[in-house]
Amino acid sequence: MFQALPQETIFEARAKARRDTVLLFLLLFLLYGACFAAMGLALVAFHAPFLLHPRSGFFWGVAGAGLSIGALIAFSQFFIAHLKTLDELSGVLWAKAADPADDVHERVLRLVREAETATGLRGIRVLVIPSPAMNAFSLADRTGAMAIGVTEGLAGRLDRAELGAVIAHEAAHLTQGDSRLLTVAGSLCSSFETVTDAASPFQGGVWGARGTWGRNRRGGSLPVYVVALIGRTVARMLAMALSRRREFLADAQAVRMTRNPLALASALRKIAGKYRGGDDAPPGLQMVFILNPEAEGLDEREGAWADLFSTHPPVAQRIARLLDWAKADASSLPDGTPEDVSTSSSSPALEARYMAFLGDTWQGPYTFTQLLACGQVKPDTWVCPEGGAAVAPAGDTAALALLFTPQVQGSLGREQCPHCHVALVRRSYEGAPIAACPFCSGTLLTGEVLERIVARRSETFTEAQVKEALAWRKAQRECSIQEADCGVAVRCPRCARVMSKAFHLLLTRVVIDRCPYDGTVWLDGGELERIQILVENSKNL
Amino acid sequence: MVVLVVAVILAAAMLLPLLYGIVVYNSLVKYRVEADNAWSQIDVQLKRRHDLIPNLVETVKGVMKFEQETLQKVVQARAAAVGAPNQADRVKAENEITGLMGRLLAVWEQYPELKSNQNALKLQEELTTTENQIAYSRGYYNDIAANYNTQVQQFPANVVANLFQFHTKDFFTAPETDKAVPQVKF
Repeated sequence: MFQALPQETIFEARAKARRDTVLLFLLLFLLYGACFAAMGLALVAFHAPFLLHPRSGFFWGVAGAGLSIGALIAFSQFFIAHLKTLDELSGVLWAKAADPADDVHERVLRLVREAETATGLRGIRVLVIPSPAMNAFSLADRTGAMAIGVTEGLAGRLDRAELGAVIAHEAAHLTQGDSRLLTVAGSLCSSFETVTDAASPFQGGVWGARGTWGRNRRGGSLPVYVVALIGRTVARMLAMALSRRREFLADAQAVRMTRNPLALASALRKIAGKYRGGDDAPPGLQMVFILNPEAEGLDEREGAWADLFSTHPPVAQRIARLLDWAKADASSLPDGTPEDVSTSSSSPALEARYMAFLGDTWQGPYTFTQLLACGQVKPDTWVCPEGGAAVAPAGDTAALALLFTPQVQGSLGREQCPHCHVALVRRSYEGAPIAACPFCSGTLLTGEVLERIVARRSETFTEAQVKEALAWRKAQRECSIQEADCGVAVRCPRCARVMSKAFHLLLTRVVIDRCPYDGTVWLDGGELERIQILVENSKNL
Repeated sequence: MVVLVVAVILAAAMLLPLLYGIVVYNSLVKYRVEADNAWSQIDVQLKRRHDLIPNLVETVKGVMKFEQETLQKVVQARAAAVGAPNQADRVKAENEITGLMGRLLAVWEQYPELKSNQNALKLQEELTTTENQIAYSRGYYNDIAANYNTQVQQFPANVVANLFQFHTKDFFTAPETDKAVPQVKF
């Protein structure tokens, strides 16, 4: 079933999407009218059949009233859904703006800028959901504001080409104007759900309970329920069919842009095999994601039933199509396990230690960052390599002369370690900006950086570290935070207020210090690594 | 009465093409501006690449022992692109750089020294993103140009186009870079 890669330009794709939107709206509009008219008639026919004599004119009255009520609801639903701004939508998804100081986020920002160049769109906002789940989404609102978002798990675990392909897919949705289409589809479907729920005779629906028609109060809503159910089914089928078609088109556009079908295929395969954040995604918004967050199995199945009711085409089918375009087979894809990205955070120059003549005595030995943090070493301070005899001013020692460059001085934070009272040194850990104390290796994290680090996997731990952390966790009692061993209270390095103690998670039971005012987190030495190891090995707990 | 009707019909017959002409003219101008803008976007990206080349040479000169010739060619092509007397020569030189860059980025991964060096990693990311931006802006320009060319050539818009000298735009053809990754043996 080889299908040629569509050669349509973005203009044709856009025009097609516009036609689709209008078509869908008209169809759903008709459906609404017909359904509400039928509902009204069914209600009357069930309770007062004598009124429905064809010559009485009442028949047409009821039908017309039903039709207009349906139309009215359709329009109001549409406009209410349409009025939602980008901020509201992204707020529902708990998405936050990407942080340019973070290496991983910066890569996402770059890739979105590339997508902007490829599509001619300008000012796409970049959002990140701080969740270890893997998914991506795009949003647009009535004012023309647009956003592309990824989850932390996705940004951290896909390689550059894969992430670029996913972002190209989302950008394709934006160029084709799919967001508006999905808004229409989603809002119209949801109103049928409301009616069905309300009319359900099985849950004491409001219509039945309040029925003033006299006899058989609960069963009174049954015909309405049946009609609404049919309407809902048809509406969903229509919306889903279009949504699935748009997914295929967006895949095709993404390939046309990146010229790399394999990257998108392997990204889809990786996302499909992982948790996609089903618990966090609100029900009306599944369609905006690249893969349905609810991995309910329907998406993976083929056949008539699944075809009618899933928001996204089966992943296997999408991947098959992409492989077709690449003229490759499944064996050319990586097997879903992300490759280890080894980072070399320690270099020999930073490991070397020196004695320094501070105050009136020789102190040390200190490492490079420790000398930097204590802030007392001047270019004329006498230093001596550990174990060596050659004493020289720090400014003349090649390895230490770097201390006095503005670049290195700039990495010195204004905050002080609450335990050691030396300046914290800013550095990058798992791509995220943190400040660490070079003496006690405690770390200061801002806001959601802890969640980010926990979602990332580029730092690897040794067998011994993992064993130690698991043993530590086993030794912890299951008690409340009041009874736990919390250590001493510390003051927030930012605002000097006393920080509150809390468990990071009941899963890890690591006690962290959190500033109640700005959410800054202080972790004592080793706690960050412990949290990471315990989360990564949560299956063994 | 009859005279009045005929006059109205005649006036309408003369006015309608005029109105149509104005609409077509305006839309043609819009598309042409879009195409020019897309072309200048490519320029921005090419400029950015020119700025990165000295940094690139400085960083990898000592490391990429087997690519000295490629590096030299990059520098020459850059000089040729900057001093090109006409558009065709310039496009040719730029295309040459694109091919050479593709080769350099492909072998980049095989030099462990570059992979462990923070500055080199940053530069690699810069170069990759710039190469992508160039390719994408070129693709976007071609889309825009195709759209504009269709407008210019379609009847009856082509009458207006000929009258006001709207010429079709040339596509930016990319060189067929070989996809095979060159092997480096140590």
